[in-house]
Amino acid sequence: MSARAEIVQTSAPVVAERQRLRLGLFYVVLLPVLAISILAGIAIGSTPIPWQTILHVIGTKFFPHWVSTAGLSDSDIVIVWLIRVPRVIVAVFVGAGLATAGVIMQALFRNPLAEPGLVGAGPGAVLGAVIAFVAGWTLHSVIALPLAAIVGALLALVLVYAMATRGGTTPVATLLLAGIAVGTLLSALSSLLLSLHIVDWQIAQEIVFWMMGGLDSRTWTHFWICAPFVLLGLAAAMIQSRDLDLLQQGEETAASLGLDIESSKRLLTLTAALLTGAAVAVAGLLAFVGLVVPHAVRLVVGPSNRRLLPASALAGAAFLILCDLAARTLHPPTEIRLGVVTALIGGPIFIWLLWRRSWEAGGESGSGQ
Amino acid sequence: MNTLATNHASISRNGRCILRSATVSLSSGQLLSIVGPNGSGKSTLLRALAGLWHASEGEVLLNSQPIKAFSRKDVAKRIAFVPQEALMDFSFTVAEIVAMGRHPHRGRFSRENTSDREAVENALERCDIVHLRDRLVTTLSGGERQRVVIARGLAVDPDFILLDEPTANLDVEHGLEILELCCALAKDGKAVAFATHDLNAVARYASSVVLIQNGKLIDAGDREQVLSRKNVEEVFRVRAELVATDQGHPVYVFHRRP
Repeated sequence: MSARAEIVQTSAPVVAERQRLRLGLFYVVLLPVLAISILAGIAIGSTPIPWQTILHVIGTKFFPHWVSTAGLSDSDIVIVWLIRVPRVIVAVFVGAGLATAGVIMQALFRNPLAEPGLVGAGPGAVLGAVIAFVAGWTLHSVIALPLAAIVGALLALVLVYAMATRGGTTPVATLLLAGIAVGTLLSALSSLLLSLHIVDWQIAQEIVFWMMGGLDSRTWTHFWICAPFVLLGLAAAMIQSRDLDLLQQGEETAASLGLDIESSKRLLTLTAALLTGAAVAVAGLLAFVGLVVPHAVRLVVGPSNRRLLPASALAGAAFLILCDLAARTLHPPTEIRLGVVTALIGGPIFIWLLWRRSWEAGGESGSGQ
Repeated sequence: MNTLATNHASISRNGRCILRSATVSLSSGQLLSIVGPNGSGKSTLLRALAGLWHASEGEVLLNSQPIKAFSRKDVAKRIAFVPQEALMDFSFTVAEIVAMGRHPHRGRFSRENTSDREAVENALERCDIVHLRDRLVTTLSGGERQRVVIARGLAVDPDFILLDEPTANLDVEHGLEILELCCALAKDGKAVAFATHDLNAVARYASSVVLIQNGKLIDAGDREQVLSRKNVEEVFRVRAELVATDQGHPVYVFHRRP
């Protein structure tokens, strides 16, 4: 009795402490990284801009009565405020949105390898966008493309959900299969439209570029399209964070602990689809962000979704800014497509995580971290 | 006095009827065991009682009211269900998993309060896993996991506790511990039911028994009456021999039928 009590007293606080320490350390490292990558994302480019100028321009925009524009050239203001800042801020929201959608999907499917596009939302958004290109809507309005993408994502989700629902219940296994089937079908339709319009090189090039993802020439309009959905989605996910914890214990357990699992699943997939749709709408297809980021962050902060969601959102933001920076600077003067960069960086990270885990488990199979 | 009962309840899954017109009742202080061979419908009956699966015919009554009239959360506050195979492949800590038992009591925006923490501490203590509280559930043995899941059920502080094969993954010592815990809970006034095919454990611990075969109730009532040699031989399709241990406990020894 006394020996056991001693062990309890000495070991218990240590582990809890370590957990808190890791979470604290995560933010101590991540927040400066995020701040520096935002600044670097604005400073670095074909025209390098010193950080004092950046802060000066941002100051004049936020505090016009306090900070005067004296000493700033018009081109500085244009490059910083109309070109680079929107691009970086859009990267923040797209990265955060994809990572949040990834957290939701991984909890819902109880699989750390699930990714945001799984319920058809990704391919649906792409098809919506391709239709917008082909129909020429993109020539009339900047918001035609993002709107078409978001509508596409939601319609795809509704289709997948309807296919997977029988008698009021939607088993996640069926949802996954329906998502993959519909996703493949919608991707094929996108490719079909692309191949039919390949003779019109102007449109075809735009579609191909967009399918490879990118944040080139993003404006404040894109920010206003994407940010509300991402903020709304992140808030909705946080409100449901304990539901996500329960779903990770299996649906039956979740139900026995008082969760209305069918309505919860509907709300969560809708949240994930909105986040994915909003991200794809302004950035095109970006592979691996929603897969690798939550997975890696979970290794540090643990699986509790209340901690994981905000941590993943911030990590996703930092990851995407850095990827975009790499896309812009690695091969000047051409930009590498952002989706290519996220896949080239995210893929190896993911393989390393898998390898590390199987190595730690001593070859034993086991999912989840 | 709390009661939970099925009244001629039938359950169908995937178009197949797996429980036929079952009438069972469970009340405070009772330790009921649901016995039957594999696939006989023990778990189905437990899930019907827990309100997890709805009866296609007949009804399930919680304190004499149809269980369907209660919200999912209200049912969860009163009835804890302990599954046989707990899915634990995300590395939550033991304390986090047990705290999930407080979910039905917590509002969406409310933080963990003192009674939540007390319920978790009590549950950890009763299941003898206080020393595991900060361990990751992915690193536990099967028996330890089983106790964690039972602790999560206890943290609910329910009136009814329904356990599906609670001793299936446990070694002898921990199996007995769980059965004794079930007895103690029943003495405390909880209504406890567990499904099992371990006739000897049941014979020792349960006060009343439901015997089930192919989705049909064969017999229910006192354990001496229900677990008669005739019933056991018929339902389990074996030859049973009742022997007494050197301390006088009756134990079945089974033989395959020639």
